[in-house]
Parts: sequence; structure tokens; C-alpha cells
Amino acid sequence: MIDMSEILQLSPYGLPKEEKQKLFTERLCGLTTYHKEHCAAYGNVLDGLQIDVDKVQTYEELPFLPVQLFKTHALKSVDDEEVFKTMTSSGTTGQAVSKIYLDRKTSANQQKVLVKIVSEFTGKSRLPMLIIDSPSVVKDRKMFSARGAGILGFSIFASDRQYVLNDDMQLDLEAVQKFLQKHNGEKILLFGFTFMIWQHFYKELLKNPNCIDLRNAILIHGGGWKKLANEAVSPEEFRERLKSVCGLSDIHDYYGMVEQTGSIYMQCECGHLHTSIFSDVIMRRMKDFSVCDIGEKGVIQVLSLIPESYPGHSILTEDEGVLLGEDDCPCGRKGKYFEVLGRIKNAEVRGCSDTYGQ
Amino acid sequence: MQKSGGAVIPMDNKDIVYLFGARQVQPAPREIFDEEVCDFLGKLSEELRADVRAKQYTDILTFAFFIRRANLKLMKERYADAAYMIGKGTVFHIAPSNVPINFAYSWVFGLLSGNANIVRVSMKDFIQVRIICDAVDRLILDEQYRWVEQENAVVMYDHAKKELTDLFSAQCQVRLIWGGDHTIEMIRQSKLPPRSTEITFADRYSFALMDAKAVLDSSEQEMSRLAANFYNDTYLMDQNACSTPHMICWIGEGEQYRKAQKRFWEHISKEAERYTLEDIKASEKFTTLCSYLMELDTKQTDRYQNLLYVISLNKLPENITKLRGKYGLFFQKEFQNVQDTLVHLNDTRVQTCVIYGVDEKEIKKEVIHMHMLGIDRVVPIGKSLDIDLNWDGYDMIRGLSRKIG
Repeated sequence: MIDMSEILQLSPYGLPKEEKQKLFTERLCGLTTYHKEHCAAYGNVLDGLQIDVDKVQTYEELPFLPVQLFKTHALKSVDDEEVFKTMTSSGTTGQAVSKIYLDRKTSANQQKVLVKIVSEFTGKSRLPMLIIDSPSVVKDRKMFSARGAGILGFSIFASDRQYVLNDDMQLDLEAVQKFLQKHNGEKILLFGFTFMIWQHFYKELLKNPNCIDLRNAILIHGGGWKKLANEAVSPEEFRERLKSVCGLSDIHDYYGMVEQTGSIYMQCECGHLHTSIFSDVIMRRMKDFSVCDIGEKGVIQVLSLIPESYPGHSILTEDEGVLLGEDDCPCGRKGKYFEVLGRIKNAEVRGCSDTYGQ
Repeated sequence: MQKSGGAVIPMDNKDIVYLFGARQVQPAPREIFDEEVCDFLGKLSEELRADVRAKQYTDILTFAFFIRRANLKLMKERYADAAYMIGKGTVFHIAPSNVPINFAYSWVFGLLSGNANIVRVSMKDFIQVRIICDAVDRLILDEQYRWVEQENAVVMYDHAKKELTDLFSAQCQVRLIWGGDHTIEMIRQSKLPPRSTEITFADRYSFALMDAKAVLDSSEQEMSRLAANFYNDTYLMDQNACSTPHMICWIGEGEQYRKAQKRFWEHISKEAERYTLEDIKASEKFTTLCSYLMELDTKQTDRYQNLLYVISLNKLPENITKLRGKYGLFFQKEFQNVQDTLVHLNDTRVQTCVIYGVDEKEIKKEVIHMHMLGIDRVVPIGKSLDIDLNWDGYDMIRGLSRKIG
């Protein structure tokens, strides 16, 4: 199996379809076999689904685990002593959260991949960074929540850091202004979660528009649109409104999940989410898991070349998406580009038991 | 304000929606299968069958067929030797929120056993509930059915309003709770008067018992009918009703098992093509499949697209009632004979045994012979959802009436 260190030498958006396919088939078949041998539960699923990795022609034929399983089962391919940290998804109280077990190697590769991908957008040098969150989310270093992990992961791009919110989630405008003054003339990196930015940053700035100038800044944000969709805020409106209150115009959403940290899907200048050479997406028809055509809505399968300490290299999400094209985005980057449409919608379930209360 | 049995009854509480019936139900116990009651139900059957809105709802039509005069007569005959049986008073029904038609059957049980009824239906406001209540509303304009309105009410209220559940519970002689373990637990927080009783429909487990040879001997036509019947028992309710089988136990020998299974599931997979598997259900179903594959000792899994999954087990887990499929996910296992099968199903949670090619009486006798805690029903494939006066191990008429001794 080709090692990550070799893949890390390549340009993140440089491989055309055929070459990427070859790389993915080799590495992902290798990972599938590896996890089958090192994670009994995963091996049971493969046996049960009667999958013979040796017969796989392309990585599209490889099995995927439903994302929910990471919430209900402790899935790892390393001994407990090698678990260097455990990451959890950001579920609301009472909800089960995913638990992802990382050893040093997988954790380091996540970081390296993130750097390769993000520096394509921010440039090679580190930037002064404003974190649109409160410092309290990263306090417990043993258990990383998705938010905390995101912040720590992106902090590697920072030459200097400032949290924008205090522990009570209040905007600390004075600190931000001081930070901007200190780095006057430098390009600023802003990072945060979409809903936090809207709720605690944009809405506060709206009370005092143009009190800060972020025309020379780049914002990277993730975490999904569900909460903003509830407030009827579209991605376009999000961008326009942010620009109107602080001049910010270089804004990049990203799609990613704690189950595949590092190999995130960045949004390009054309507004498309991109796969890099470290990750891929396949839209699936839920009738039979066949592969959707370009432009056809399906459920998103995410693939990452990174995971070695847990069997999370091929996961079926609960998100719907649509593939827009491959290798031909006007931004010039190779790879698939796509759109995420949101969660699969809930259905009415029949039966005797009152699962839904009313 | 009016006083009744010590409880203060608000005559018109704005938190309660009355779909029809009295603000204060007046109990006037009647003999079981009372003539006036049967006449009214027969009339309601005609009214529903003539209702243009009802025509598109097969569940309403099935219900209308259930309460047709001829069937009421048949049911009454089953109680021919039961003399001096009279209703207990008022029955408070808690209907489930995901089977729209169920409230109507529950109500009919209350009526046929001679009771006044308060039926709580789901806030989901199902169209089927409306259609039936509207039909009743039309009938009670007629002077001869005025009593229906005085002795019955169908109500809707926010389930969080425990004080209303308290209120109705305090007035009833029997409380009938559908909706499974969780609902029962919630409703039981409201007290019942000392003499009042309760019938609860808890979470149950059902399975199928099939004879491999019978499947192999069946004609193609019979197989198609069998597949349609099995579909109705399972997919029709998302495989989520308490009487829906999850586990298919095969009786046979040698090569018969494999051949019969193949034939059976191929027919089912064709039948399942009419099932609407929404994306979220496919996702949940695949997750369930993978979870079971992680935890169970499985021999083989057959997948017919995502419409049908069949997990063949090597070994049964300790608690067989944990083997629950959904949206068309089944387990199967081979057994020597009936006894050898039933040994693994001795659990109070086991409700319906759905059979094919096996003698119904033999199973019932074995349940007694083997001193079993479970199995309350034995029915042929296709009848698992058919509701009857004997349901879930209860004789509804006897459970809701009293005997003057």
C-alpha cells in the first residue's frame, strides 16, 4: 500500500481523473484490507456483506460504513495504548456522538493534509488569525469536540492568534481592534463555524457596522448550514451581509466531518466544494447504492486516504449532495466539485409503537 | 363546573378538541353486543362504504368491513354462551400516534363490550380520523343515535398536558393504552381509581414459522399470493407493527432449507418493488444491517438491492427478541421441528407466530404443553395485522365487561 508520506508530496489539486482513480483504488483497497485485519467489527461487516477486496476493480466498488456506526460502536484498528486522542462530533445534549480514535500517525497525517489543502487558499506563509469562537471550546485536550478540533487544526496556519469571543460568547470588539492594529497591513485569517459567525459575530457587528475593516482578510468557515437554514439565511446572503458589515469578501466554506478530519472539501472562488487528491465523494442512489450521474441528487459517500487507526476511510454520510463535474471547474483545480444539499429528510414511520410522541 | 366521582370536571376545556361527542360522557352500561350498538355500527359501516372521501383509504374500508352487520353477528355468536355480561362503565382509550385507524377499532371494542368511551387520538390530526368522526357526526343527527353522542367522545389534546390525562383517567373504569412501553410509562403517571383496571399494549415481538417443504410444493400462483401476504404483514407497516415478523424460522431437512429460502425470498424481493423506500429509511436500514453484522454470528447475508436484506444466522443470540429488522430486513435460521423452534421463543414479549405450512393447532398446543410465557396469537401469513376481538392475548369483550354472577 502506498504510504501517506508519498501522497503528501503531490499537489493537492493536481491529479487528473485517471491518475487519481489509480491512486485511490490502490490506497483504499490497501486500507480496506488493513482494517479488515485489525478491526474485528469491521471485518465482520465485510464478511457479512460478502466483499472480496481482491476482486475490486475500482474504489467505487469498495464498501462503506454508515456514519451512525461511529456513534454506536467503538471502531478502531489500533491497540488502546496507541490511541493518542479521541475526537467526538458536536452532538447536542443527549444525542449520541461519534467517537474517533487517533494514533500519532493518523493524527499527524490529518494535520499535514489540512495544511496542504488550506495553504492552496491562504498561501504558504502563516497569517495572523482571528478565531470566531470562545477559548473555552478547546480547554479539555483529552476529548476533542469537532469545534475544538477544527480550531486547533486550523491554528497551525496562525502566526498570531486572537479569540474573538469571550467565555460568555460575547464579542470582544476591543481585543479584535487591538489585534488588527497590531497587524496593520497584513493579510488576516478568520476561522469559525458558520452559525457562530452569524450569531455572535455578524449580528454584533450589525449593531456597529464598519467598526472593523476586514477587506484584507480571508474567512474559512464550516459546520454546515442547518441552523442558518432555520433562520432562512442562504449562503449568498451570508456572504453579502458579512461583506456589508466589515468589507470581508474572500470567504470559503468547507465541508468536512470529524469522522474524516483533515481531508476537508474547500469551496473555491466559483462557489464549488472540491475534492482534493486526499479525498473523494461519490453520490449514491439509495435504492441500490448505484452511482449517481453528474447533476443527479444522491447521498454522499466520503472517502479519505488518511485513516489508519480507525476504519473510516469510506463512509456513507446522511447528507445529500450533487456532483457538478470533475476536473473542469473554471477555478482550474482538478478533482470532483460538488454541492451539499443538507441532511436526508425525515420520513413518517408507520407501526404500533409511538416513537415520535404526539 | 360539575362534580363527578369527586373530580372537578371542566365542562368546556379549551385545551381539548372534541372530534365528536359529549363534553361530559355519561356512562350507561349495556349488555355486550347490545342491539342498539350493533345497529349503530352496522349503519356506520354503510355510511363509510358510501363515503367518497373514505374510498381512497383501504384502512377505512377494512374497518368498515369489520363492523358490517354480518361480521358483528358472527362476533356475537362467539359469545353466545356468555349470559349476563355488561359494560364496566367508561373506557378511556389512548390511541397510538402512528396507526391512524387504530382508534376506531379500540372504540368499537369499548362499544361492543357495553361501555361509554373517551378516545384520545393523536394530535397529528389524521385524515382517516376526521373522515370517520365526520361520518359519526352525520349519523348522530338522527334521534335514534343520539345516545352515541351522550356516551362517547373522541378527543385530541397536547400529550404534555398531564392534567387532562389525570382528569380522564379519574373518570374511567378501564384504561386502554396502545402505543408501546414508552406511552404506557407516560400514561401510568396518571392515577386510576381503585376499582379501575387497565389493558396495555406493550412493545411486542413476532416471528414467522415456515415449513420448507410446503414452500417447495407450492405452485407459482400460490407463491405470488404468499409473497403478497407476507408483504402486507411486514412492509405495509414499515415492519414496525408489534405483530410484524422479524425472524423467519424454517422447519425442514437437508437441501430443502436452502432451496425453499431462495424461492421464498426471490418472490418477496419482487413483491417488495412496490415498497417506497425513502432515502432516510434506506440509510437507517443499512446502518441496522451493519450493526447486526458487527454483533451477530452470521452465516450469510442476501441483499436484493436495498429493498430486502436477509441475514442468515449461525447461532441465535441469548435474547432473540432483540433481532428486530426494519423496512424489510429479516433474520432466518433453520430448525429441526416446532418444539426445537419454540424453545428459543419463550419470552413474555413474544406475541404473534405467523405460520406457513405448519398446523395452527399444533403450535397452540405446544405453547401450553411447553408452559410458555409468550405467543398470544398464531395466524397464517397475511393475517398478522388483522385485528380481532382476541388481541395481544386479551379477550377484549371479557376484559372490558363484567359478569353478573
